[in-house]
Amino acid sequence: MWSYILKRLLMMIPTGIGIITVFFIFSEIVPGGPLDQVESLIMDEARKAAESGASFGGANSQAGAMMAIDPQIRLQIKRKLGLNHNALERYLRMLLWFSPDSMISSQEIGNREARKVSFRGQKLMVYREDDAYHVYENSLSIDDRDGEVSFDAETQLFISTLDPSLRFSPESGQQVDGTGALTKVPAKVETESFDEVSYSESGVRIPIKEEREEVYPVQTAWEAFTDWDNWHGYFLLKFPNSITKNKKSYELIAERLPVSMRLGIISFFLTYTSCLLLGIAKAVRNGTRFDTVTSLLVLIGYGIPGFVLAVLLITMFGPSGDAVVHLFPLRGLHSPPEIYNALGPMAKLWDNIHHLIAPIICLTIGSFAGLTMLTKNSVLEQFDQLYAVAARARGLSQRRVLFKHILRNSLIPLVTGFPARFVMMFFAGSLLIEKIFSLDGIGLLGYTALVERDYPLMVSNLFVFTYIGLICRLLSDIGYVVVDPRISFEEHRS
Amino acid sequence: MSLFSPEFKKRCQKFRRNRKSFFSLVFLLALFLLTLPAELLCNDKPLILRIDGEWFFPVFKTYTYSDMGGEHDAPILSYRSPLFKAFLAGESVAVDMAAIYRDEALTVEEPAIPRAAARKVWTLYPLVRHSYKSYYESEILPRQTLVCPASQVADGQRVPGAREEGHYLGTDKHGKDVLARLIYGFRLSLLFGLALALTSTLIGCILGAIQGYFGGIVDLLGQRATEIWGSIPQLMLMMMLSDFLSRQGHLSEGQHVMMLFLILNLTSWMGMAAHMRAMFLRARNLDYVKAAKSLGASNRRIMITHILPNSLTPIVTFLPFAVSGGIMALVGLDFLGFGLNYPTPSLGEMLAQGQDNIEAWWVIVPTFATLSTLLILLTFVGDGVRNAFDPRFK
Repeated sequence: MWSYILKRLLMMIPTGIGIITVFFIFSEIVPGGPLDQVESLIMDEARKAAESGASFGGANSQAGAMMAIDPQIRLQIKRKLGLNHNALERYLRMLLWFSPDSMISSQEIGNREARKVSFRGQKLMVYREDDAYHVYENSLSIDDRDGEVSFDAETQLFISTLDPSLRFSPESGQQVDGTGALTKVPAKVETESFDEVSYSESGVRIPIKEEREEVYPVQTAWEAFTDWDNWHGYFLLKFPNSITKNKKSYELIAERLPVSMRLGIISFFLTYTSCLLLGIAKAVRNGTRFDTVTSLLVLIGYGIPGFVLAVLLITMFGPSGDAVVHLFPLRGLHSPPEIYNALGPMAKLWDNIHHLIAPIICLTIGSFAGLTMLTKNSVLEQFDQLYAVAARARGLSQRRVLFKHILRNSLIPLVTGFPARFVMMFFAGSLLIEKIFSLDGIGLLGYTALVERDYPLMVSNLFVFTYIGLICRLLSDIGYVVVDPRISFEEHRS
Repeated sequence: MSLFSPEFKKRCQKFRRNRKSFFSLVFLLALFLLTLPAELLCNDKPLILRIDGEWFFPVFKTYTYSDMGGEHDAPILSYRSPLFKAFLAGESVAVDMAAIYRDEALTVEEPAIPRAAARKVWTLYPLVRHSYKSYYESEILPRQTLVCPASQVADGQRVPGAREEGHYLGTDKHGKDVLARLIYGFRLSLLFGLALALTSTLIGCILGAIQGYFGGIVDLLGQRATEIWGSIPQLMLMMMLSDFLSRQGHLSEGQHVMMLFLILNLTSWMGMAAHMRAMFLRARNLDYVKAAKSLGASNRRIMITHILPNSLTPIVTFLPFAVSGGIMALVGLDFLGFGLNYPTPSLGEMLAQGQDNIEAWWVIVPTFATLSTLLILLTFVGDGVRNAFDPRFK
């Protein structure tokens, strides 16, 4: 049993590698990736600005055609997108990779020009003086006097232009005022080669190699090795930032999760309880009119796709002026905040329920058929078992036989699927329904990431939810063994 | 062959006894046969055109003006344009060729010379005088695109309803006839779903059978590959591939449908493959397979003539649900705007229009009715088939 579970867990590793590989190949082959997206965005803005300038300037109408993105800005974009590495390193960085990240490229600093940069969430100030790079960290521990450094007048000037809140004593050169104490960070410079892309006149991409200097923090080998920031890869659960939203991918997922979870949990309990009750009732009245009518209804529900019904509901019973009846609100989980916040607690509760009715109907309509039939069939199967016949022969009432004896046995197949389904409901966003009802759930997050070519967010989504799915499948398989010891995993072997 | 074994016949009879499912199947087949010749039901060209005793069949053949006794060799693009009407009235209109191609009403430069008396014309039009892509600049309803079929009263004035123009269900936002688009769309969806179900069943059978029959390392690798391929979102493949292909040049309507079909085939075989894998995995250890093996039958022979006929249950029960799944995939992609290109009749696109134009109930209600009727019928058929063929349902 344990070895089986271990085997299944180990099998998940190649799956993850495979997903990342397939995705990587796709993103390399297919044009129109994030860099193109960002570049065209910038170009569009610039063109707009140029056109509005031309409307009163008139002279520089040619400027739009001649425009190109400043190489310095391109470089920054590429660093942000992680495209400054070569293809192999980019691939390995997605899987598992160890390397310290440079704080900044020396070209970006320029000669005697200081910059304020953000490195791993910390604010740094970098400037260059002859061949020495100076990096200062704006640390937050003001009381720690050891961290203070003294500066000459020129450096002080640089730093105070970057952060006006910092003041320095003219005599000692030490910091006397400011939000945080400045600490000097030892830095070194290394030359690295990068893949660059240039465009020929015909617009064809020409790949070129380029070398530039990068500023790194100085670390001993052990320090570097134990520094978590130096490790990269999805397998270490280090998800890169989303491009479009400029936030950590897992933060975005966590942000959207409550919406999907609320929908998921409600529809889960709704379907499970109603399917159980309906299935038992149908089994007891097997073959009666009630049975056939409910079968028909459940099948019709299965036939109508949820999102098609959603469109109908929102047009016919939504808030628009042409609707037949105004039953459902148009979008979101609750009314706009200016209305919502003014409501009392009971009104708030009603507001929430009111907004959830239509999405829940559409989410659950297709899921009644399978579970109801499963319940009905497994109850029916137990009806003819010897123990049930014996119980009836003992003179127990039909009701008692049903609830005390049959139900326990017939619920086994339902209970085994329970944990996996429950977890899946948490995370299963329905893109189409979320889109139609404007609910900011997980399905919509993945979709917008895809449409906007936000590759990091997309892969993070893919990776997380694939693993959740795999673990759920393992859980439900384990559930079968735990509940029914007759099932063995070693069966396949023979 | 064992396909029509007594057992199979018995199960077919059982299916027939299920009245709900059997009537659904009959109804579905009737709708399918009715919409199959959609060109004869909804078309902007007359079915039969008789001019001065000569017969023409514009639906089946493209005629030129010279075919009908005119002077120009230009094809007749619209049979309802003022140009063609003038032509039928016997006026030899002085036209430049470009105007014929644009199919415009003309400002006649030279006075029209009446050549003869008006011709004797008799036409037979289809039931709906619009095809899914016909749109007339020159008719009464131009530019007033989304038109309700019923007459409306706006600002105290009667606005002509679309029914007077032969749009029985009104027009969509591009001015095209809703009924025609529904009929063409129904046909396309059903054909698409059927074709997708057949090909994906075939692919699924082959891959599942190989995985299950050989087992071991083949099965292990196959399982991992399926897992990986299954977790890549279909929409992502769709978007990227269609992006890629559209860069190769303009695709025609038919090519686009084919491309969509091929792309959906990439992922739709997985359910079938899982079923077949399980069937073959179990069957390969059964006595009849061992017996065949010991007699020296080849692997291919065992798989096709021995195991496959015994594993038909999942194929038969899976098929109706595969059809409805294929239709739903197509509708979903069209709804999101990643499916068929606009003039192609598509139910998903109509659905999206219905959502964008909330006031246009005459678009959304018939679309919903068509789509849900189709899918509910398929579900009933599938339910009946499953009840008849699956040994677990007695």
